[in-house]
Amino acid sequence: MTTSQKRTPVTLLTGYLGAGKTTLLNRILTEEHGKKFAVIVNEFGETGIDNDLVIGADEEVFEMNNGCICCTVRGDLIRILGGLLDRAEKFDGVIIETTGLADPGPVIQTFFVDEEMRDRLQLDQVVTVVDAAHFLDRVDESHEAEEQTAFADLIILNKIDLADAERLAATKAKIATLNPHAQLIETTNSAAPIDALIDRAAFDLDRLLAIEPGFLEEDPEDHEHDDTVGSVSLSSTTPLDARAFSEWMRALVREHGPSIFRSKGILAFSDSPKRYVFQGVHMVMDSQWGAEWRPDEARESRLVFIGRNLQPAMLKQGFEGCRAKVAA
Amino acid sequence: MSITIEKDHGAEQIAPGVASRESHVGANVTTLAALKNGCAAGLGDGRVLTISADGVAERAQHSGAVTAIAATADDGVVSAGQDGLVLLTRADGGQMTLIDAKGEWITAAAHSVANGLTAAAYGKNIVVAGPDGLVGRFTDHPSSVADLCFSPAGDRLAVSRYDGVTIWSMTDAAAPIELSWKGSAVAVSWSPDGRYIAAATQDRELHAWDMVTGKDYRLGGFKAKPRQIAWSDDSAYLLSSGADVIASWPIAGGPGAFPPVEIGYVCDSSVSAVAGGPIKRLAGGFTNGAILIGDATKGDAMIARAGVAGDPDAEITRLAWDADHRRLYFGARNGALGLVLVTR
Repeated sequence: MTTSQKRTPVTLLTGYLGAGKTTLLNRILTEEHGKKFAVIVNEFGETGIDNDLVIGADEEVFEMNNGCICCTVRGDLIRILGGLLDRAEKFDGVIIETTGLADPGPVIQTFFVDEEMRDRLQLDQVVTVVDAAHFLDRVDESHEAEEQTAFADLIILNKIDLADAERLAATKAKIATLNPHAQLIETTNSAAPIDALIDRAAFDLDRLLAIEPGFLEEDPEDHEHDDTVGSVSLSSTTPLDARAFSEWMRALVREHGPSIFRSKGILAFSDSPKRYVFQGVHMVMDSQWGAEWRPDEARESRLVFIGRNLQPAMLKQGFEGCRAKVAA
Repeated sequence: MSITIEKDHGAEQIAPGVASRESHVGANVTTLAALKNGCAAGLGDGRVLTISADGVAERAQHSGAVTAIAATADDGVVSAGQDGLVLLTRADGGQMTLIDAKGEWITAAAHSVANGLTAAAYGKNIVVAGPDGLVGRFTDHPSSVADLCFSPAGDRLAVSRYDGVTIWSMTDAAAPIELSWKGSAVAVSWSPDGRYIAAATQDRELHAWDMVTGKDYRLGGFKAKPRQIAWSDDSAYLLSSGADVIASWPIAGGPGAFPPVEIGYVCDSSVSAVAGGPIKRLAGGFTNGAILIGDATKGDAMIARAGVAGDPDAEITRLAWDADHRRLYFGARNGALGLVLVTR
């Protein structure tokens, strides 16, 4: 990043049809909240609001020429966001709605692969609206509903008034297996606070460093890891060999990138006094050095993968192979 | 709305033989075209201004940003905007709507001084209008149109899109010529001699097609996505934004047969705008606001405007030479609009 100015935050709003996305968008566009948002929608006219800050998108997924299947971007978004950035008016945020069937991967990658997007916009977070009454039925028949939940930084569990206590508990338990690290807000009529939707900096590596202890802790329980979506958390109190880790990650995402939706980590390397922070979406990685470890601090490396068909034993073995041979 | 000129530097000597003069127009400059006397600028707030020795005048207003501007043969101004309108503002102030895309953003537009045609792109569609109304509609593009430009004679229109360039005939209903290259072609430009078409791609490359031999050429090595392409007047050099120098590729022997002449490195910055001209006056604007005028025969450059440290909005967005290459007009994202006078 070369600009010193604050980049405009962009929230990605996903969720299956009927979950309550449109209701949420209507609230964002009509309520008095003192903020100015531009909204990019797929189904033009669905919001029923005639507003020149609502722009229709075409969902054009463009492959890059480097042959990497994961480096797809959304060409329509590059064009629309470029057009918004050309305007003299400034926005507090941009909200991008994706259709129920769309893979959020290319949208997220757009903000890491295209340098203009990266320099001038900040992907803020992925918000997924989940219908508490019907999610359990959806998730068994649709990969998309699972994947949208797995990609999320914030899950808005909507229509809780339409689900009985048992169903609500089962829905929350399912969400916890798909994505135990996302924040969860329960709502009726999509009545989530506007402040929760923007400026949360979920993709900001500085923010990742500041997350409360426990965020990247081991999963609460062992899950069934078969052909389903889930997460794997790994940790090590032995410092890692930087080179071994880099080689392992590179090979891992080259081979399994399509099935790894999100990855995040804070690492201790044997040859550095500083934390190393990274996060990734499929094969696209973003990393930086963080603050030095304090002398009284346990130098614990932690990382988490969320994806489909993850193999915990293979990941654990690979990760343990990155431990430095001689403790620093 | 009145125009406030916040500062006027007067004639500031930058390098021997060069002076610059600029104003602040209160909104980012998105597009620029030289006129017989002065220039026309399109702004991010929808205004279309003309600037001449007589001062600044507001000539048209779009809603949303102005996305393209061009000068007509009789010194009128064609402007396109995010309001879906393409307007023609004549030199005498008379105005007419050439194209109305009913609120869809016009994402690119071009005008041919050779035959007076104007083409505008919105979504996957292109509409072509003459002085007396619509003359063509081209709707079969496989993806949204990124950019378009007329051939020098105005008889053909090149359209860049995902996976290449489509060339439409403006004189008959012949099937289009498809120039294929995988990936997203974000900008397209026809060489002044009509022989080559060059496209800038999302993959940080240029791709050039020789329309005579049918060969195509891949020009890589950019650190950023090139977004603007220009040619020297004699079609001997192809230049673009996207590197930290004004990379000027010799065309003799085929584009890319020889490495580019690298003109005018600016520290911690990269080229954001280019304007062609005689091979001794190839112009590049930089992300830090600097403007250099280079000589491709020697590979050196003179500083026409100094850069600004620490202002990400100092970026030069557009450059345009006047007809005799004495005045180089420039616009910046921070609203600076001015000209560089080359006095020798």
